[in-house]
Amino acid sequence: MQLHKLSDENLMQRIAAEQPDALGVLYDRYSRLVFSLALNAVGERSTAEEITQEVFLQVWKKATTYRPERSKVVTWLSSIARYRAIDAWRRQSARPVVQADFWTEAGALTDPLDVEHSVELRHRARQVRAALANLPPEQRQALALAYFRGYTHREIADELDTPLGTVKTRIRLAMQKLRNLLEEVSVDEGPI
Amino acid sequence: MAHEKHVSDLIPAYALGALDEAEAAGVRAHLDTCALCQEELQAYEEAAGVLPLALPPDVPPPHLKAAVLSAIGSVERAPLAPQQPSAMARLVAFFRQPLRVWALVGLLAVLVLGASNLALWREVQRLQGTQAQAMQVVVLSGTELVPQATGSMVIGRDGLVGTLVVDGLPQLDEAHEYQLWFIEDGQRTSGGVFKVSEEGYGSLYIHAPRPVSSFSALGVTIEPAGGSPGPTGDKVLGVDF
Repeated sequence: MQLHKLSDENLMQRIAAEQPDALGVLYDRYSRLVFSLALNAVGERSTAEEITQEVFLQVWKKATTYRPERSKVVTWLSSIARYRAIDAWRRQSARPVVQADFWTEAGALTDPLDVEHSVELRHRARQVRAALANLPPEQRQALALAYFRGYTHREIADELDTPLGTVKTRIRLAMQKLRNLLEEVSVDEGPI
Repeated sequence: MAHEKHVSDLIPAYALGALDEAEAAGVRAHLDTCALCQEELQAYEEAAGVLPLALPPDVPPPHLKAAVLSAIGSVERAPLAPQQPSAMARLVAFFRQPLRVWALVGLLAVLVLGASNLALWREVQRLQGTQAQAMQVVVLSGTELVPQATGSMVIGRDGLVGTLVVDGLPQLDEAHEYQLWFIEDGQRTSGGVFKVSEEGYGSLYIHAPRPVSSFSALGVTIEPAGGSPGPTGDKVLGVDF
């Protein structure tokens, strides 16, 4: 059985059935994403490594609770990684500052041995970057503070010295545009 | 089911966890009964979930994969998604000491009979009126800060609604309240805020975002009045599942 040919959902089924090789394949696909998220949060590699390990151990521990009808694997995994990263960032005494435009054109987040999923992930990454590039800078910054720091509207307003209502509008518009752009691209591409 | 007011405008921020506690609680309550808004939430959560793909990528060291795979042997797996039999199994395991059962029943009786809160008494009566095996009780223990504190959470059949009753907590000043947290995967979701009486007794109606037994832990902390987006103060009560 060539595990790297399986879908994310099929891998999760095998992980739930306690197959370590399946976890290894999932790690190969998404460790860069998780590590990058963690490193962006804490700014320090050894802590980012710890977070990455914790996230995949949590995937192993909670695989039986994953429900494909509720979310995609990447969404579920990103959520686990995001909250671990935010917790670690909050515990730090010296906290990296969120940059307004740290979403950049950059290299691959992918595993060179898993070609099919690598291509898919790179494609999706380009879509996300393009969608973000279409947002006004102030919406991107508010979105970044909410997503990568776990800030509430009020905390973002305090951080940016901006009226609360303005922040609420920026977050809402940014998420609406992001969702609409990503859905438009998915519809336009259609089945092969 | 028709709804007078959807929460569409708040769902994008809710998907990010950017709402304050009061707004988030309102959205949670609405989501429980609105399939349309639940679909909206799922779409926004999917959008938020791909944001990390746009980050500058970085590669973890090669040894990390081996470290992960060698560590899984010591990890205790979560059971399948909570269903009535497994919740019952946990309840049975918890109550395997008869003396502890009657001590808990006695505690609840004292707390209820000693309460001047008629609504609380009626709530307990309602929960006790359901099939006995469908009701769950979770006991929270005081931390080193407040070792004499206790808490009991009685959860109804759906696993979502219930009541937290606490005793032995010090009364806080007007600027602070106690806040309940549902804990999972490093994420803390607020279950609401409450105060206690001079006697140290208090209660909180809870409405969990998903079955309480699906979380890994519960905690109660001291927070600024009105609550915090995340725990900031001392922990006073807790339980790990």
